[in-house]
Amino acid sequence: MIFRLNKLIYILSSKVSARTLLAGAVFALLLTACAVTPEYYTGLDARAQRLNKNIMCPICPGESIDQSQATIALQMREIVREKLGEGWSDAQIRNFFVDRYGPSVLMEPPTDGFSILAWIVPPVIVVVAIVAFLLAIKGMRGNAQRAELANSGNGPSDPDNLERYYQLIEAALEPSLARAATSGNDTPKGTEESNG
Amino acid sequence: MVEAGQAALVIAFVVALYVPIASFVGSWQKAPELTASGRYSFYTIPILLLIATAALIYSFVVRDFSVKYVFENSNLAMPQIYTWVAFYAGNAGSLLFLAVVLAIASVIAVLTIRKRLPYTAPFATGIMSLIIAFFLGIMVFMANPLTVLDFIPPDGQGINPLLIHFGMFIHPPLQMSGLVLVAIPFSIAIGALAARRGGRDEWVDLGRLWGMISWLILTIGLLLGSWWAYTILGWGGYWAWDPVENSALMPWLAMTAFVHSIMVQKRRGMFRMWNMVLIIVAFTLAQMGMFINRGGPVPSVHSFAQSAMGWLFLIFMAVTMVAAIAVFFWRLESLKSRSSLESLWSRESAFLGQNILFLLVAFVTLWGTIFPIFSEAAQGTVITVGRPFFDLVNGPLLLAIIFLMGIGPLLPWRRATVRNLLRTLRVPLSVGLLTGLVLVIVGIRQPPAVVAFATLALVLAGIINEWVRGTRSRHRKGEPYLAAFGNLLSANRPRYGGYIVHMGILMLAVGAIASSFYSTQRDLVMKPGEVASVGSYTFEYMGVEDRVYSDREESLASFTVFKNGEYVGNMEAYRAFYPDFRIAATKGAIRSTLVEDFYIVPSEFQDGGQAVFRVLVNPLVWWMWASGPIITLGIAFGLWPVRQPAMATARLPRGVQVARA
Amino acid sequence: MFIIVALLIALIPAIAVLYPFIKGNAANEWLDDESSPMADLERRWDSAISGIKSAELEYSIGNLEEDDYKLLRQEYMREAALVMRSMELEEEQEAELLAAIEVEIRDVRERISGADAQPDDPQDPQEPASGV
Repeated sequence: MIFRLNKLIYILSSKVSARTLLAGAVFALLLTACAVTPEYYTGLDARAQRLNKNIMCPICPGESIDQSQATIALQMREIVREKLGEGWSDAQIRNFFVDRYGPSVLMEPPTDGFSILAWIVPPVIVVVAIVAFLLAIKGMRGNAQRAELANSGNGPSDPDNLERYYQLIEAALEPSLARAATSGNDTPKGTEESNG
Repeated sequence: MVEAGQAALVIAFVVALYVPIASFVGSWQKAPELTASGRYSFYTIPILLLIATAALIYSFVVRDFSVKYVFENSNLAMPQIYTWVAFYAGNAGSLLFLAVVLAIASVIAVLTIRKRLPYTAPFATGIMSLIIAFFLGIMVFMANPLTVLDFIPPDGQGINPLLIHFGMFIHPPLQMSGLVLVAIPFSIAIGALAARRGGRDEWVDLGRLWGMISWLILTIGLLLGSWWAYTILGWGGYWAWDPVENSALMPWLAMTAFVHSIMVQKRRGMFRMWNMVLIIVAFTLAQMGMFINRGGPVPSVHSFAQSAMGWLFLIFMAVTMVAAIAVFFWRLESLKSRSSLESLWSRESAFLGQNILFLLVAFVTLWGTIFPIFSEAAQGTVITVGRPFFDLVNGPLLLAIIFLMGIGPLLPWRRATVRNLLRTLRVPLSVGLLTGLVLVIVGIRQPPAVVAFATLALVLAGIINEWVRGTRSRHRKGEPYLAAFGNLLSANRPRYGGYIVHMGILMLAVGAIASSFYSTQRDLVMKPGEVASVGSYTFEYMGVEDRVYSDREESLASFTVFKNGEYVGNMEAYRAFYPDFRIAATKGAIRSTLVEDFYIVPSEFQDGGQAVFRVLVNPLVWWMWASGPIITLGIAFGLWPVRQPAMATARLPRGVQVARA
Repeated sequence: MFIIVALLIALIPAIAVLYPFIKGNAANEWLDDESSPMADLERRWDSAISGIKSAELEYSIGNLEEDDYKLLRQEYMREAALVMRSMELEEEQEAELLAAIEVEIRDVRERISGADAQPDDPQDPQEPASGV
């Protein structure tokens, strides 16, 4: 598999022309440009929405104050707007609510203490899964190669015996070609194929 | 009538216990009369349950409030047509619904497997019957929908007002049906193993068929649920990663993995153990879905009654999982694969990767859903794991899945050379990059959105590219273009049916991504007569009308709407309050076009007609709902059996045909 | 009243439960075996043929290179041919078995009609064991 990867890199690098490199560089530059677009990150409306989506309505099970239409949710949205107008930072506003309602008012698990596990475990599992996948492929391929070696002994001694079957199968696969030639009808092996 | 129903329910329970005994013992002791007896009596279960259902519906129709369930879920004011919804609105009724659906579908399933899998059939039948017996047992002993009160109340409590919406006529029944139907491929697979008939892919054709049927119904159920949340819950969104939603999503993820990897088993005799594990996981998750719907450990927006029977569900889930795993290990030896994976760059390994990704999403979803329990146990504080967490962690995984959806079909079975793969990738990859570039130039700049749209373009390009090349290659052999295309599709129905489904998924994805990143949302305070603008829409708030009904008070707001200066119509939205249920329900006004939805929801009505409105412009949402019919079409096309022409060869052994669907 | 209704309804499954015992012809419950060698061979035949067809489709579309295509096609053909040969063997074996059983039946009949003094003894012909 390492061999395959090397091959891939070699092919990629030998196929890539200067023009492609230039296009790629321009594209990367543009992407970086859009990544630092200020509006997305600092516009008041956008910030308010993001905060609202992150704060839970205390009396409605599982709804953010952005989602819920309950009176208290509306009031909390007002508070968020007010504080944003006064210049509070996102973190300060979040802490304000946590002080009053406890950490469960935030829709995301906090990043300190036990709850950091909530954030750490998924990426770790993803990495483990990728590794497991690659190992599994390697293992299965290893079996395939060993099986091929084991079976290769049978190959040469058989061809004559199977020739008759080959002809029959070929005939079975291509009956429509003969039909098409004579009757000029369409639908070649069409109706008989079934793969997916 | 009610008595007939009660009797039928109890008798059905007894029969449902007889069937597995007769089937298992009959198979074990080689007593065909016994297994036949089990099978025939299994066929009577739907009849008995339909009698019970008829009794319940009849009681609703005549408003017989002496029946406790009718009392709790309807009233005199309820229009007759909502009887259908009231039937499954409550705990006991939904159990009966699940049982009836499973019974009918199982009988159809047994009829299909009876001839083709004669040794597996008794075991599969027995397992299906045990599952039905569980539901019936709970009903008979704990939550009987036909219990009668000692007195006759003059009026009922009425139906939950949130359920009075067109979507509620189809979403809950479909969702519940989808979840419960996972039992069928599960029973076939484990039944085959138990019958010692699982090691040679005997059950795969029918397992795939019933897997895809349950997958389709689950998909439609989820789509309808999102659509319902969007149109009736009034917060402008359609998916909140709420525990109940998650519990319906997880089995869907497992089943999506299953219907793909079962193809590998069918074509190459591989993944035999993996598919067994997968279907066990899927069924366990489906049961969890049904459990959480009945009041589980994590609160949510729309869990049903909190009841102690949730724990019975949990026990049943554990029992079926342990039993299935036991059967799995008992027959493990027989599940060695027939062939092996040959290359990382093959369709088989793409399927494996896809499976892993889907299971990762399921894991993350599960993790986020139950983490609050751990946190509370470990440090005593209650925390919430909500939408932001899931969006952030699942987002990239889902994007990777979509990317794989584009790359996978380009890989041939067994192996592909890397050079060839790159050549095939050229067109989709360049289309993807080009799309990304164009988007950035045009002004769409949020990196996740750009990457997502570029990926969608890549996938679409890959599909269209193959269709074009396939049609062209047939055309070169002498067919006119239209015929070539038609024949290409009909000659390879599973493959092209799959492409149609993938196109549907693309529609779903484009709507989800566009509306996630580019919705415009404003909360406005308006007095009657005021005009406001959001996006390219200008609208005038005409005023509010208060109406009082026997069960609710409604405030109806109306608007005149203009787009780009042109009049496009009037819209109405209301907010209703149901004093009996102490629930407020809102219904937003939505104007939906192919390009975007214009959406007004009243948050609050204040004095003097002043009101707070939430106004949204959601791009491309229509495409999400439109994906449903496309996906259905794709599945139907893919499952459509191919009629085989008679094989005219003298020497081919009897019964052998060139290929089967 | 309830009892009568209950009994009437219970009649439905009762009939179903007892029917096979009364009718008594459930012998062909397991006539075919989904795991029989022949059924297995048919499945392998199906996979081999669809393998060939999908290789042809992939090649005509361009997802598969010519060398790989030829190799894969050869491998699938070999598998199909082996399956075909095994099928013929199976059929030969089955034919032989049936023939042998026929011979035995004839023997038994002759012995019975020879050694027996009562000519009118309608023995039901034994049915060959099915679905081995």
